[in-house]
Amino acid sequence: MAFIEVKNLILEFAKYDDAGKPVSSKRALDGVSLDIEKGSFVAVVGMNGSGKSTLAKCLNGLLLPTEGSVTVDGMSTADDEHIWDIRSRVGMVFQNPDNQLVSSIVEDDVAFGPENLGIEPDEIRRRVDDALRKVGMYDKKDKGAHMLSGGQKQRIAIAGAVAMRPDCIVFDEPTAMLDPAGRKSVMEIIEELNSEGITVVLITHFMEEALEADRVIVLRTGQLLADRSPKELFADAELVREAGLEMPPVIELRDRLGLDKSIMSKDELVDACLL
Amino acid sequence: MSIIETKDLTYVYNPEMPGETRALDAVSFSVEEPCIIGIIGHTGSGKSTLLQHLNGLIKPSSGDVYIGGECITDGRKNLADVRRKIGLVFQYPEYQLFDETVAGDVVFGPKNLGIADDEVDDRVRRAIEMVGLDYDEVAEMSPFELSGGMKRRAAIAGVIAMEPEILMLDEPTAGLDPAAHKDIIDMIKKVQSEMNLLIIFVSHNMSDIAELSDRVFVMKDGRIVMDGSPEDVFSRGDELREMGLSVPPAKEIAGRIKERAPKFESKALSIEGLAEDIQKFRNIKEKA
Amino acid sequence: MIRDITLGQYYPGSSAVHRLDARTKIIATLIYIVALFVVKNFWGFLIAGAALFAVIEVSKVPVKFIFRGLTAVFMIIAFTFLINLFMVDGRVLWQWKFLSITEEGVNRAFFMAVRLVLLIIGSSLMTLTTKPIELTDGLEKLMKPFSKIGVPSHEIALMMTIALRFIPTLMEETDKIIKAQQARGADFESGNLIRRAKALIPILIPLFISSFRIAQDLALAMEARCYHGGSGRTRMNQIRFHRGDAIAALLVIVFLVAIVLSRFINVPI
Repeated sequence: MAFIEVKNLILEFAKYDDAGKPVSSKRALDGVSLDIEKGSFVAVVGMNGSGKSTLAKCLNGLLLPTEGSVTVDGMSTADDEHIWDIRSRVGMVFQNPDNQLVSSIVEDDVAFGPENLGIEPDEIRRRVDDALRKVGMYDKKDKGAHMLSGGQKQRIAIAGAVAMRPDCIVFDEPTAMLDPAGRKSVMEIIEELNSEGITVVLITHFMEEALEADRVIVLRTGQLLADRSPKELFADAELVREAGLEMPPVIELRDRLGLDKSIMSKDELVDACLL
Repeated sequence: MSIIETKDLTYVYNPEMPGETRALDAVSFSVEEPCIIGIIGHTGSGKSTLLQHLNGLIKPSSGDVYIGGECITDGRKNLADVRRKIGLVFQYPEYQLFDETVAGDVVFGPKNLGIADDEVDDRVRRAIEMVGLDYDEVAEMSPFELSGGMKRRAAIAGVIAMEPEILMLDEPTAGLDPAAHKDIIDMIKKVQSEMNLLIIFVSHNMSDIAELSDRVFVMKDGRIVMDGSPEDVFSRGDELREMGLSVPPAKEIAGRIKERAPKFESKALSIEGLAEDIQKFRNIKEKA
Repeated sequence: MIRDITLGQYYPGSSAVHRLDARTKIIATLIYIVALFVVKNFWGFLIAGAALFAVIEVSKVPVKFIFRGLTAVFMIIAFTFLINLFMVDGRVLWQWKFLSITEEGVNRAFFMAVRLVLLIIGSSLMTLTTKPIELTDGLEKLMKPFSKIGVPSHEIALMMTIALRFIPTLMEETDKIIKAQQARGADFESGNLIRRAKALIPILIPLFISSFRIAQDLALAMEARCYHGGSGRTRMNQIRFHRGDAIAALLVIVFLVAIVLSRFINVPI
């Protein structure tokens, strides 16, 4: 059994008229099925409105299936009894660094999750310190959140998820609002966490980031268009165009030069050019 | 005569206080011809502060800004006139939409400028079409029903409708998906060529800067530390990296090839251009 | 600038004042505010001012930093001063048409202004030396006895935490929206009252929408981090009374006695 199993997931948002009666519904996810194995790094890509963020919110029960099911380690997200257990195992980091920090002071914000889990104070302190060291923000632990840059705030948000000691963290476009330096530091932390065994689900618009994943899931208008390795995905220019995506620069250059489709990184590309 | 010019523009936050910082430090530049200028620099280097000085939203601590030869910072100039000439599109401009309809939002600027009603309607139509939206389709729609990329274009139309002589955009492509991103890039090119105005834009995306700009400013600690063509600026990759910036992917790959094959030369900023240069290089090598 | 408001900001430090239990500081501040209204003559204000100055010295918060906070509320202080100056009956010192200044008015105006200044500095000193989370934790603990009669102490404390956290964010958002609409030629300064009120619409609507968006994002983020109300929650920082708090409590009592005694001093200045 996979760690997260999504089966025939359908999610509809009802639209209401002024009197509060449902008048129509919009299908954000339409029959999506996929498995996420423990320890893997899965990227989810697709245009705006393809259902990426909706899928992310289904993985920890922030949204519940209209039809179909999502299970985490065998527990259904629709089951009230398990919801807090699921959320403590599947952490989440959102796009906007400003809107997800609860406390004004860095370390107090990181402590928010563990406090909700009812963990002993000394243990919370240890976890908070560990998490802050992991994201390289330990020396900023008593600083005000509003004094930090976007990239730093995002690292605090990651620490907040890490401090809950989850098995998996879902990142919903964590770098979309950051500058290149912030993006780089956040991506490094994500890769580091994955190498330590944390399952990573990364929703992103940046194809270079998708290249880092073991697997890429492509969504289009709520449906699963593809679920394959980055190598296979970016070998299929037709599919990439159909999904409204673009080729990462390395792949574009590779294809323009007619080089071997197995080339995926800058180093491999440079080697091939010099042959 | 220059379109826009600044002389020793300086802005100090919290003067004489513990948190005193120079957000701008003696910035001087001048632009003579309509073109596209790209500004890069890491967060806090003064890019946004500079834009806000250029249309009088912030008063400098010292130094001056001249628009078409006229000083706008000596306190005598009517700022409404300045803002008519210089449009500024903020970061995430869709968050400033407020009217019930797209047309109603776009008309806000021209109305504030006191432009006659019959001309206003024409302007609104032109502006909406200019950003690549269909006037008949979106004019009466609520801006909040549009998709992310369309919302942003509607917001930009609100500034274009003021028909400025200079258009400034702060990170116009931030947070968009690849398709919407490309739409905005194409739109900027179209606006520049059809309206023949000066466009100044700030971006973190080096590919956008390379593709659009005729001239690039690199800012650091409130100063313009590089000012030149994209080819010149991006040939100084090591200095840029030291500032926490990067070069476009084509330039980075070219650099790596050159490390291994010193004879390889490429000025290309795009993947397309680089592919051609590599092809030539390989052909020569093959003959040899 | 709006950013200059120091009320609600924290000035990191590790002075004796910073280390006090938040509950001690909250109660001491409340007592100080009450004391300010007990004071009725110059000597009382001298004691209150001196006490405040002593606390500022011990706290090591720069005096400049504290006073910058006052500039933001200068208008309120000036308004209070003028109202008192002209509205109090008594021995007339100066008169022009219906406006008159009385000796009592002058005294009252000065006392009210000083009282306000001390009150604002006193309460901002509390927030400057107490981490927001400690402040709200302290408040939650102090309100705990009232939760038996239905006061939602945890919820009130959390609301305060979030409010303190998002004040700077919303300030920045407002600043940005105002500037963006100004760049589109919006004019907030001319015209009659109705025109000015209408001019606010392009600011208020985006601000409301932003606030809702922030609230929605934050609610999701809190749920994702397992927030489900106050029951079963623990705290990283345990607040406890120390020796310092006992000393502070004694000093507060001494201060209160001095203030009450000052009412009986009849020595003119």
